[in-house]
Parts: sequence; structure tokens; C-alpha cells
Amino acid sequence: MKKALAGVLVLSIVSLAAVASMAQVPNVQVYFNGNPAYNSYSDTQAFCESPGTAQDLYVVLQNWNMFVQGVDFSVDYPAALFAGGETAPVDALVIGSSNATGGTGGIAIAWNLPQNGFDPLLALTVHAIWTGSCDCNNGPQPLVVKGYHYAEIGNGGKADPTGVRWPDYAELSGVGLTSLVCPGTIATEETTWGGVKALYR
Amino acid sequence: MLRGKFTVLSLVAAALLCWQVAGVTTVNSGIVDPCNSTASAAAGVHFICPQGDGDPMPSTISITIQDNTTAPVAGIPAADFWLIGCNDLLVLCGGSGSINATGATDANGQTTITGDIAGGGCDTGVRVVCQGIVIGNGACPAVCLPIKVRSPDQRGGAGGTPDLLVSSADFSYFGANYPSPAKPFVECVDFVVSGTITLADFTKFGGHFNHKC
Repeated sequence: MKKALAGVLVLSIVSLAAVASMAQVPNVQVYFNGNPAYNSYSDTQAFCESPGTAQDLYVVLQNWNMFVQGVDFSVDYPAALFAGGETAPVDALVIGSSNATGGTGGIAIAWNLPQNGFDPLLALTVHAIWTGSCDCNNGPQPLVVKGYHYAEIGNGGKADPTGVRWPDYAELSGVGLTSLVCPGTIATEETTWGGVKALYR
Repeated sequence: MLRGKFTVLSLVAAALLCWQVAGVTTVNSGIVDPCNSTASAAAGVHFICPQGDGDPMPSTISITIQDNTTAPVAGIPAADFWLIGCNDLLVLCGGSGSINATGATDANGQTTITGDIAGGGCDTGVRVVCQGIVIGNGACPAVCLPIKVRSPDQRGGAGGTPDLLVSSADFSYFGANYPSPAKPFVECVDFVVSGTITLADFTKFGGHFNHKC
């Protein structure tokens, strides 16, 4: 019994450490809510909206802990969202667009001045629309940040998002995190009112 | 009588002249000789920008100026030196005023160039110019110093030449060669000298976008 308890304790500590270390890893993630004026971003999960509803998505760099001169990445969008226009930060140059399109797409962003990567850093605002291909009964749809042209590794592609550090222009890899449309599956089972009442007898 | 005196005086003057130059085989001109003068530098790549905020020159250029008798020419002002591209593909802000030597030539005719260049273009090397004379580019073999020069400003002017402004024309040119691989490697846009064209090159370009003289 004591051994079992000790095992559970060790497992818990390891899990906590893993979570803490992951939180410090340079990453790029998509947020469903944001207030760029306050550099505030929230909600990495969202439920379906009506078809045609506009949805701004905020692609944010976190934990880079350096001055960032540029970044590249791609985003695999779920069927629930259609990525329309994109707004890059002011005074930034852009090559490509964020849509990964099967791993042969991606965006490279170069700022005119080094950016503060010690705080959350907005890299891109994507103006998306809910398509209607969204039924949470069918489970979650991942919204994944990946590397630039990730299907073309060895030929200009990268597995992970990459940031460039100022002033030495070193390229450093980060982690692309996953956001979710329909975060929790709602389990359902067809039944009758009689069947429901029978549950409470 | 008068004619005789004139003749005598002429002969005396000629004799004096001959006595003065007797034994002299060459004369120091003090004029820069392109073949006797030398310039040298270690190989490297120099990233420049029209705004003058490029990287430091990768190696010092050492210069020795001599005249036609290989005598050192001292006291040539620093501003009388500048650089040009070996293939004439560099455009300098303010022309020859873009870069000077570190000081006037010393008693040995020596000085150096260490400063950053403000300008545009891309060239495979540079030559030193002193008082309008290209060093080592006369009758003797041309000396092209192995300092490759690259600026983010390479387009925008007539015929695809630099216009001393890092503009959308330059961005288009960079974008057409980005990334490499998969695209063929174009050395002129390899700003971080990695042998590939990557995000690092793009960000270095972006950091100098809209810069001008």
C-alpha cells in the first residue's frame, strides 16, 4: 500500500515537472480571443459558431525570452474554420500565408525592429470564418501550429516553428501547440423517455 | 662680342644642368603608382546598408602607396582613399565620400581601411582607389581584394541596379530567391553567410527595410 502511494506521488511530481517545463518552452499557439492593445490573449479552445460568423484568430509567440527579429510557421486549420485574410504586425515584412495547405505552405515574418520576446508576442491575426463544417458531436477538431512547409523538410521546410534571435540572427526552433475546436466530446446515446425514466427507478 | 658671351653662358648653364643630373637614373615623382602600390586583406563577406548600419568590415585592408621609383608616398589624406566593386556593381552613398582610410599615409606610405561602407549592390570583391587611381589596376595584374560585399539594396534603379533605398523592389528580389533550398542559391541574398537562404537572411533584410542614404 505504501509502495503504491509512493509510486503515485512520484508520478504526480514528474507530471507537474513536465507541465512546468513545457510551459517554459518557446512556443507558438493560436488563440480565439485577444486584445492586442493590451497584449492579452486567451482561449485556446472554442465551440462551433454559426456558418458565416467571423472569427479572428491570434497567433502568438510565448516564452521565447529573447529579442525576436522574425518567425516562420504554418497552421493546419480545421474544416470548421476558413482562413481568409491575414494582418501582419505593423512594420513587418511577410512572405507567404499561414495556411499549411497540406504541409506545402507557411508564412515567414520579418520585423523591421527587434520585438520583445520576453512577453507574449503577436505574430499574426488571421481573419477566419466559421464554415458550418462543425459538429461537436463528432469530436474535437485540432488547430495546429507547425513548421514552415513542414512536408518539405530538407528542401526548405521545417518540422517546427522557428524564431530568429536579435542581434546574432540565430535561428531557434520552438514548439507548435494545438488549439481545439470542440474541446470536449459530448457523448450521446439515442433513447426514449421511458428509457430515461428507467434510469431513476 | 655679345653673341660670344651668350654662347659661353649657355654652355655654362648646360654644364651645370648636366652636373646636377649626373648619376641620377630615376626621379621620385611622388605620384601614386598603381603597379608599385599594394593593397591586401583577408577574405570575408561584408554586409553593408545604404544607411551605414551594416556589419563591420570583416578584415582590415592594408595599403602601401609607392611612386614610380617604389618610394613611399607619405601624407596622402584619408579622404583620398575609397573602394569600388571589382565588377563595378557597388553604388556608394555620397560616391567616394562613403568610405575613407583610417588616416593619411605614414612615412612608409602605409594606411588602412577598416570602416563600414554605406551603399548598395553586391560584388565579389573590392579594389582600393587612391586619388582616383585604382591600386594594382594599371599595367600590372589587377588586385581584387577577396571581400565580398552584399547590401539589401540591390534593385530599384534602372536596369535592375541599386537605388540606395531598401524598397519593395529589393523585397521582391529577395522573395523570388527565398528560401534556398528549394530555390537555386543566390549568393547575393545570403546575408548571414550560411550557404542557404533562410529565415535568418529574411529577418536581416527586414531589419534594414526602408533604409536609405
